[in-house]
Amino acid sequence: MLTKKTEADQSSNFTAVDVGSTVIKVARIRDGVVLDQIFHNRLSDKEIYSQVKGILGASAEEALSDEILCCSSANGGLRVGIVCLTNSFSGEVFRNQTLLAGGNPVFEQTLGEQEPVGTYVDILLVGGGIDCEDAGPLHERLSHFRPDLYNFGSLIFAGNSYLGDYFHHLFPASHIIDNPLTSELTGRNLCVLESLRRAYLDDLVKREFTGKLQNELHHAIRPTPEVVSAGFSRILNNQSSIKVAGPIILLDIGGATTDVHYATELVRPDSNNSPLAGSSVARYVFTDLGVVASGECTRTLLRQEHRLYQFIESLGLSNIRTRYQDLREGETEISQDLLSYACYFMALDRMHNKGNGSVPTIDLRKVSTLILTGGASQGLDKDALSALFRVVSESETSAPLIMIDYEYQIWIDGILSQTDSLTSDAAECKQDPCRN
Amino acid sequence: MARPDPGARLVDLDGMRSQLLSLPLADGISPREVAEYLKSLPPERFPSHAYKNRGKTPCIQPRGGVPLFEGQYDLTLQLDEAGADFIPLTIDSYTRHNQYDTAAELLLRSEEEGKNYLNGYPLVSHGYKITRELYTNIKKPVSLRHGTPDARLLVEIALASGITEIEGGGLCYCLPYSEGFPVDRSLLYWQYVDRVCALMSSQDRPIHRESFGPLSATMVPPAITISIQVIEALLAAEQGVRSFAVSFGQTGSFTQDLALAGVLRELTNSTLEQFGFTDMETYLVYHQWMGQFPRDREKAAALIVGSSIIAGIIQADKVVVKTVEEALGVPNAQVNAEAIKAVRYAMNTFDAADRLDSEAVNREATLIRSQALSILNAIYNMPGESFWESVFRAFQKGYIDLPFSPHADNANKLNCIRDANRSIRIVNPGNLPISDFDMQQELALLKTGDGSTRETAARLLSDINVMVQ
Repeated sequence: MLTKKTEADQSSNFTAVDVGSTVIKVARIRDGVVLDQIFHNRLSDKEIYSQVKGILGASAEEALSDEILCCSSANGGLRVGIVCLTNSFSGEVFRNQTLLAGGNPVFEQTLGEQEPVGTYVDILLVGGGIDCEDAGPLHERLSHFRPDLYNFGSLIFAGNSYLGDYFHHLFPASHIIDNPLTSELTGRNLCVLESLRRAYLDDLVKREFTGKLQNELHHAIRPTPEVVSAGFSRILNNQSSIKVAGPIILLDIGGATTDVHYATELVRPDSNNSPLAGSSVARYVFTDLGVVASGECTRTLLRQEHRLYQFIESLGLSNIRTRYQDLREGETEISQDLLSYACYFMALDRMHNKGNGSVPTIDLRKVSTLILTGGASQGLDKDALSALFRVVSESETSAPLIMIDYEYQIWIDGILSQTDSLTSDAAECKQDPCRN
Repeated sequence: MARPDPGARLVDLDGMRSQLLSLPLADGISPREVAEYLKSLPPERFPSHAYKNRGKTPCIQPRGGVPLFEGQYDLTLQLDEAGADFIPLTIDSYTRHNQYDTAAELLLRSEEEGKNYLNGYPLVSHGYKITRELYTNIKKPVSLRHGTPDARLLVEIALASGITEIEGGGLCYCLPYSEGFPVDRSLLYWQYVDRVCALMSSQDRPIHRESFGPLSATMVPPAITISIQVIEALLAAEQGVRSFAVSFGQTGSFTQDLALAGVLRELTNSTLEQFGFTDMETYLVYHQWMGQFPRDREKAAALIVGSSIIAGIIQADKVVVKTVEEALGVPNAQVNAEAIKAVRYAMNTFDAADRLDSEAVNREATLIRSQALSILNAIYNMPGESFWESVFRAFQKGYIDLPFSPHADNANKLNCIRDANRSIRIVNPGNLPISDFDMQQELALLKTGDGSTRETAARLLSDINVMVQ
């Protein structure tokens, strides 16, 4: 039985656990200082609870008396489908709050204008409009809405609150939460974020993970991307041991996804996707860029990359022409490090140059510091990363400092941070934002 | 809860600073060399010296910035010769928004074509070495005027150039100038600026900071102006700044200008003392009308003269002047020089022996003081690890709400219109933490006199355009 403490804030001894898709990471922390970190491969044939408990028990006797802080991206993140009234208002707010909650928007549709998507999502999020009695257009579209044609785990309505009861009448299994647009169209109400965060936890518990473990922890298990985002905020607020001159961008290259956390002042005024009102950090996730689960997809994309030659050249590799030809024609194996470089290069390129769809456009020329975290970035070369950055930003004057988070300090900062601004604001929502 | 604290200095500045100064655009700035250079400048180059030796009337400062070095050099000499007490360096919009590449491209184009493609001097693109030469023969303080939420690199280059007055602040240079720059970061970045200014100061040559009080310059109630000015003075004091000016823009009401000036000066000093900041010298700066200006030159001239007289009456330490071509675009050096002479003439001619007082001014001052103190006390009680965080949370709550701010995160719930006396009255406080009694006073003052039946929107538009009707 793991020890459960009741006064979390009084403790200065923590054991932090990150359950990833392929690795479980455990860190013992004493008075804010990391004592040691241990990495264990995820055992696919073993239930996570047993494995985590086994690791904690084996790591050190004293860990059993620690406060346990746990986060997880074990199931690849919460998949969210968005069906909204407009892409520019409700869609943008839903998308931003989903990302900040650590979820992955899988699709985004305009209500009543597109064919249903058959891809499975954990949450189907529906809504739009501000809170007002005059709700004709939304009412009309909802009356034709066919959730049975979608493939989802839970249905959530977060639209005009005057239509909450109507929606629930149409679809009794749905959950009704507050409208993030309220009556002011600002999107400042973070109840979607908070609901998704809870849903993430429920999802973890329901799936293979850890009903048992959760019951034995004082703190809720948090989504790993949200923890990294909190650590990122600590750096920007000068509250971390990582000291940088912002604006900063952070890439977390993982097995299934590449997460980009960025300071919102980097967003270009003409970006298709604006940051959430009131938020000074934002996240975007590329679900097709990763080194393990998304490795094949990344390989294919790299082979099709129009700047592949510059990519190879920037890495300082020999026999560039041969390598280029081999890569283009798929006649060579791509190492994990090369895949990591590819994730880095393509994620930055899409955010700086493409700006289509829901990808926010950021001005890389303003970046002062670029940080990489996550296991897949540990072996990368900073000079190569700088060279790739110059190719993407097309600027000779911008030369951000490149840092690699070898000690996983961002994760440590994030998991120790219980009260970042977003969580405290979200806590001002109703304790249980679901009305049904 | 985090109140202003003399011990709340920015930690690990050196690391952040060395990173920033390692950028190619910093052109190898050495903090040690800059500190020595600033120490070597004559005392007349520092605002504290200018303020202490200003005589009876306020110092005069025009605005001005052009892209090319030669143009800026000529402008500087002409403003100096016309009698400006402070020499301005106004920065172009791209540099203000950290778009240094674009500023550099347009500077190059301006140089090649001999035309101005920028609306100010791109200081980061020019760099500090050449900019020092602008002021070789100048024996007056140079003031950096910009509007930049992240001014760290700009200010490093300005200080290295010998510029000793830095205008701005985390709120006053973000809320009126930016749609989306995160306010928390702006506050933090200005902590950096304040700390660097303090570090580059020497005992008799302090780098001077000035807050920008006009804000959006549109229907801003005095309590908001004062709250932001006092907050920024406190934030600068925390970082060790010892010379600071609070400021405000002409409100459009003679009564309110007199009351605002008195309360702003009083609360700035008493609050600094309350929190143990006893070594900061403070000054008052008055901005001539910052709203829509008359296109008609005669009306514009009359407005400039009127506000010059008010600047004298409120005993401002400095007045920032407008020109008769304000409504038409960026004024040339000649028009700017004429404005300096006209303002000087008006202030000398209508020199006020003492501050004017009246029952109306006192009543207005009492109301403004009460509201500003309510807002400030609410901010002090906000949670946060440091004072800037409390300020940020107060902003998030709408305790600081700037009318007509373009910023997406501004609460926009505070509504004001003018009373019969043209004073700005709060009709809807939004989330402003002011007392019911003060709100009743506002509404009572609004009812006296006018009795207007105009629609609110039409009335508001008319109030905004008060000087062009």
